Amino acid sequence: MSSALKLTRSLMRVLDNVSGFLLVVITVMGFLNVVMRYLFARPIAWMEEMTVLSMVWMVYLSQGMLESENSQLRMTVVSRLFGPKLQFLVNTIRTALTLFIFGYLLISGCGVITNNYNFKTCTQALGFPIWIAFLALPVTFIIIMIPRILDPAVKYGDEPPVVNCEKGGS
Amino acid sequence: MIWGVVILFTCLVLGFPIYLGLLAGGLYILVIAYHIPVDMVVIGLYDGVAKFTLLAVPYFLLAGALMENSSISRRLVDCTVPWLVRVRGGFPIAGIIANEIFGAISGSSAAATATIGRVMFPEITKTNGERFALGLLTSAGALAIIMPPSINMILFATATNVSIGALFLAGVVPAAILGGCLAVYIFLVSPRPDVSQRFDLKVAVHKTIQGLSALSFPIVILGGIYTGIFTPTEAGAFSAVYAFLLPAVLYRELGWKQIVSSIKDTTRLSAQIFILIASSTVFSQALTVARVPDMLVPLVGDLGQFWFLVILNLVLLIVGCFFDPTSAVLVLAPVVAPIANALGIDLLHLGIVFTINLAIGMFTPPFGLNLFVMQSIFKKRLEEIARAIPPFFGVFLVALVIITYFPQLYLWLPRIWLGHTGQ
Amino acid sequence: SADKVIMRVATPTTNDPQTHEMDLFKKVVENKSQGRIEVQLFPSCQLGSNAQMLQGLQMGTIHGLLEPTAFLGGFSDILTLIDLPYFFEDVWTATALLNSRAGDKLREYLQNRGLVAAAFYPYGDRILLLKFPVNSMDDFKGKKVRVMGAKVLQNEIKAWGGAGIPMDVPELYTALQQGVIDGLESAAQFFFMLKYFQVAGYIFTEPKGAEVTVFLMNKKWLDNLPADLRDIVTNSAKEIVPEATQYARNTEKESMRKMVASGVKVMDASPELQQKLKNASTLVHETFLMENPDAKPIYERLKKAMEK
Ligand code: NA
Ligand code: NA
Repeated sequence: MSSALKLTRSLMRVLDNVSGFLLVVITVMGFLNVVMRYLFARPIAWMEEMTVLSMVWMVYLSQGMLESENSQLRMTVVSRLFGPKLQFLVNTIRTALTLFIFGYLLISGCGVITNNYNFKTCTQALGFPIWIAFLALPVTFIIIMIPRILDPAVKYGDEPPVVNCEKGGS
Repeated sequence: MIWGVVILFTCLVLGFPIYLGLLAGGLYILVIAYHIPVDMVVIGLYDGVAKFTLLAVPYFLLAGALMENSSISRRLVDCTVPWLVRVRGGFPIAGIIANEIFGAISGSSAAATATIGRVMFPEITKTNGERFALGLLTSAGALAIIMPPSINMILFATATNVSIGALFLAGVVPAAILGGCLAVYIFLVSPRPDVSQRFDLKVAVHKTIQGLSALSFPIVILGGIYTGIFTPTEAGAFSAVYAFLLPAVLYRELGWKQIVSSIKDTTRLSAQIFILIASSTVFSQALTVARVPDMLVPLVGDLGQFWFLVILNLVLLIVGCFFDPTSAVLVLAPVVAPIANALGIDLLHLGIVFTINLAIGMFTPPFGLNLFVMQSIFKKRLEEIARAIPPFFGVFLVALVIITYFPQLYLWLPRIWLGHTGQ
Repeated sequence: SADKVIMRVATPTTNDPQTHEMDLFKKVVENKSQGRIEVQLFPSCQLGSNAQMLQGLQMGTIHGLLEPTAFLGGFSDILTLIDLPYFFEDVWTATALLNSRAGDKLREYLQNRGLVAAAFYPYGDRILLLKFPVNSMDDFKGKKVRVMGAKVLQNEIKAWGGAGIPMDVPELYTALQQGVIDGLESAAQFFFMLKYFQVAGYIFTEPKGAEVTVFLMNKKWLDNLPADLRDIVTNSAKEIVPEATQYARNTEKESMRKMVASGVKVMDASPELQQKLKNASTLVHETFLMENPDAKPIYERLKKAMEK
C-alpha cells in the first residue's frame, strides 16, 4: 500500500474519531433534553437543532473511512464471480463514476453554500447559519474522492464482508 | 426515466456501493431527463438526513452495540430457561423468548443473532441437534427487527410520514405471532425433555430476580414511549444512556475498550445507513419528479388489495434475498406507499408487511447479515447454514400470510392506545 | 409541444386550503395559457421538507411554493411579522391588506431575495386547541404548546407563561394524546382534519392571529418567461384569491361546527383576559422589531393601513 494511501487512511480514521466524539455529544444532548423537559418543563429548541446538526456532521465525516475501506453496503452476489481482469475494469469504472458524480456535486455544492451565505439563511431556533451546516457536504464529497484518486482500482479496499457484518446491520 | 432505473440496476449488479447507484440513477433522471438544476441533489443530500426523528437510529444502534458488549443476553437466557426445563422443546423455546425480549431492547437483528446465538447454540445443539440449532438461531434473530424498537420501522415511518410510535406499537403482536408459530413448530418436532431435568421453582425465581435489571430495560423504554414520558427519539437517547449505565455501573463489566469499540461500531453503521438515506432521498425525489408513483397507481390499482399484497410479498422476499433491509425500505417504501394509500391499505399495515418480509431477508441466502454472523461466530460454511434454514423459512411464511391478510389482529393496538385512525 | 413550459409547484400539506389553492391555480393557468404552461403539483412534502422546498425555490429547482409564513423563519424572518400575535385583527383582514398596496414593501423586500410573493391566501384564524381550560393567564404556566416554526410564535407562548415548541406533524397526535405537549396552535381546519380534537377538548379562540399562506415564486424563472406567460402566471395567482378565501372560510366554519358537535368546548377570552394577553404580547413585537430592524418600515406601513 502506498504511503499516501496509508496517510489518507489515518486521516480518515481521525475524522471517524471526530464522528465518534459527535456521537457522544448527540447522545448526551438528547438525554439532557429529556431531563430538562421534566425538570424545568422547558425543552430547549436550540439544543434539538444542535443535535441534528451534529448528527449530520457525524454521519458524513465517517464516509471517507467507509470509502477507503470499501465497506459501504453493496450487493456482491454477482460481482464475486468476476475474474480479476473484469473486476479491475469494473472497479476502474466505479472510480470514474465516483469522481464524476462527486466532482460535479462539489461544484454545485459550493453554489448552494454561496447562495445560503449571501441570503444569510439561518436555522429557525438557533439562528445558526445554514451555509456552515451545509459545509458538511463539500467536505464529504472531497473525502469520498480522495481514496478513489489514490486507489482507483479499489485494490486495498476489500475487507472480507464478515468483518463489518459481525456487529453489523439493522 | 427508465434509463435512471437501468443505471441503478447496472451499478447494483456490478457491486458498486448501493448509494452510488442511487445517486447516479437519481442524477440522470433529475438533471439529464428532467433538466432540473443539480442543486436539488445537493440540498436533498443534506435535507434527507437532517431530521430530528432520524436521531433515533444512531441512538438505538449505540444502545445495541453497548448491550452486545455486556452480559444482558446471558441474563435474559438464564431467567427464561429454568421455567421451561420440563416442557417439550423447552430450550429452543427459551431461545425464542430471549430473542423476543432482546428484540424489545435492541433494534439490531445481527446483534440478537450474535449474542443469543453464542449463549444458546451449545445447549440447543445438545437437545435438538446442530442443524436445528443453526436454523433456529439464524432465523429467530430476525424477531429483533419486528419487535420494537426497530431501525427499519424508524426508516419506514420517516420515509412515509407515519408516526414512529404507532408503527412500533403495531409491531408487538406480529412479533408475538411469529414467536408463537416458531414455538408450536419447535414443540411438534422436539424430543421429550430429559427425565433427569427437574423444575426447581426456587432456582427459577432466583434466576429471574437476577435478570430483573435486564428485564427492566424494555419496560422502561417501551413503557416510557407509550405512557408519554418520551417520544421515540428521546427514548433512543435514554436507551443509549441506560445501555451504558447498566453494564458499566451495575454489572461492572464495561471497560474503556468496549466503550470505544461500541462507539466505533455505531459511527460506522450510522455512516453506512445515512449515506443510503441521503441518496435514496435523491432517488425517490427523482421518481416523484418523473411522476412514477402517479403512473403506477392506475396500473396497480385494478389489482385490488389481495393481489397487490401477494405481489408485494413476492417482490419483497426476492429483494430480501439480495439486499439489506435498510436499502430496501428506503428505496421501495416511498414508491409503494402512495399505491397502498390508493388501495386503502393502512400505512401501518404496509409498514408491518415490509418489516416482516425484510426480516425474513436477514436469513435468506445468498445475502443476509444473520447468515454472515453465524458463519463467523461458529465457523460454519454458508451452505451448511443455508441447508438448516428451509423449515424455519416455512414457519415464517405461514406467519407472514397470517400477518399480511389479518391486519386487524395487530392494528387494534395502535388504534386503541394511540387513537390511530389509518391512512 | 417542445416549447411547453413546465411549472413545478409544491406545498407541504395534503387535502387542505393550500392544496385546494394549487389545484385552482393549475386549472386557471393551464386554461388561460391554452396548454402552453403545464403546472405540475407536488403536495405532501413530496419534494422534501419545508427547508428543502424553500432552498429549492431559491435555487430554481421548483418554481412555486405555497407555504404558511410561520414556516419561513430563519429563511426570511421578516415574513413572520404576519404571525405576530395581535398584529392583524384576523386572517381575513391580513390577507386583504397584504394583497393590497399596503403589502408592497414586503413584496419589494422579497424581490431583493430573488422571490416573488404572487399572492397571499388565508389559511384560517390562528387559535389554540388545548387539553386544559383557560380562565386566566396563569393557566398557561408550565404548559407546552406546539407552534409552527416561527420564533415569534414561540415567544408568544413564552410571554404568556408557557413554552412554545416546534414539532413535526407526524408525531403530533401521539405527543398530544400522551401529554408530551398540552396543546397546539393553528387553524380550526388543521385541528379537525388531522383529528387532534379527539384528544384535546378545549378550543381557546385567542390570539385569533393570521395563519397566512404565501405563494412564492422564483423571480429568475418568472423573468425568463415570455411576457404574456409571466402575466398569466402572476395574475392567476391573484385571480383565485376570492375563491380561495371563500373555501377557507367555509372549511373553518364547518370544522368548528363539527368539533363543537362532537363535544369540544369553545372558550372565548373575557375582555380583561384578552387585554392581559395583548399586553404580554407587546414584548413579542418589541423583540421582533429589535432583532429585525429591516422589518420596521414594513411593520409601520401595514399598521398605518390597518388604522384606516
Ligand atoms: Na427490536
Ligand atoms: Na437475504
